[in-house]
Amino acid sequence: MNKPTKARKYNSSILNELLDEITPLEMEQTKVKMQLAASIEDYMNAKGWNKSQFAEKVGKNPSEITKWFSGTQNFTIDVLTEIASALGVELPALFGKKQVQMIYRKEIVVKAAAPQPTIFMTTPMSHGIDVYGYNLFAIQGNKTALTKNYQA
Amino acid sequence: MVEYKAGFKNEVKDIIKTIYQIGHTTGARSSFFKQHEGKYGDFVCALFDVPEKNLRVYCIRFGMVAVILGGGGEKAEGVRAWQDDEKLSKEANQMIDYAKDILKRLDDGDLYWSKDKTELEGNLKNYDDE
Repeated sequence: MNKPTKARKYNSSILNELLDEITPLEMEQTKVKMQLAASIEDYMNAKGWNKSQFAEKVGKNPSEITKWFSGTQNFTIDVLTEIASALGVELPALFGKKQVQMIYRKEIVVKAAAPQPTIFMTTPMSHGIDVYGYNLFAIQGNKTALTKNYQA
Repeated sequence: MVEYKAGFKNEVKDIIKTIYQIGHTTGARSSFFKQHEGKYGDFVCALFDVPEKNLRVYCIRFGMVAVILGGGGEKAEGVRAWQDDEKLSKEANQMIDYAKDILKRLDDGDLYWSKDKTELEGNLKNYDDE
């Protein structure tokens, strides 16, 4: 039985020096590009498409798709919009923002038998599922009956 | 890294940023690497800089969770594959040899993954000394 050993932590003054030169903004730019690439690839996989099929949907060569997924691509808004459209998602979803989908807007009218005020109450509700599969349930703020809507 | 710090500083920084994000945010997704740089089934692949892609860093990728980084070099214009360049050949072949050795030692139980599957443990040796 070998004695378990762990790898020593690599330390390099040159590496530390270069890391110090990288600004937080540069690091964030790399992070966004890599996360965006991962997100697009995940959506493509969720559709059951391979790179060739996806390339066909967006009218590009498969080699261009490989470049997109490499995490190095600086996408334009036009290209991202095209990708979102092909994948059938809203543009913010590619950035990991939850997709909120309005499923109904119900107007409730309450009438009393006696000559009392009629209350109009609007409850716009939404139900969404974010890209990571978490169920979200949100009720928008405008859900209270307003006195100005009272009718004689 | 010393040899490329002066001539390819920005390229080296691009690769460092990529490695940092792989380690902290995205994991080692296969799309971030040039695949199949080694022998069939040895997991040897390469990282590259952007946008001109002048540099290669050879590595062994174990799924999304672990990457063993090796050496690399400049992939000059006109060089189609690492076999066409002496320096790249040396570094890629060295990584292929390391991969062969590491995979055999994993099979033999001489090396094994930590409980959280993110680190190699066991009878580690310093390959740089070879």
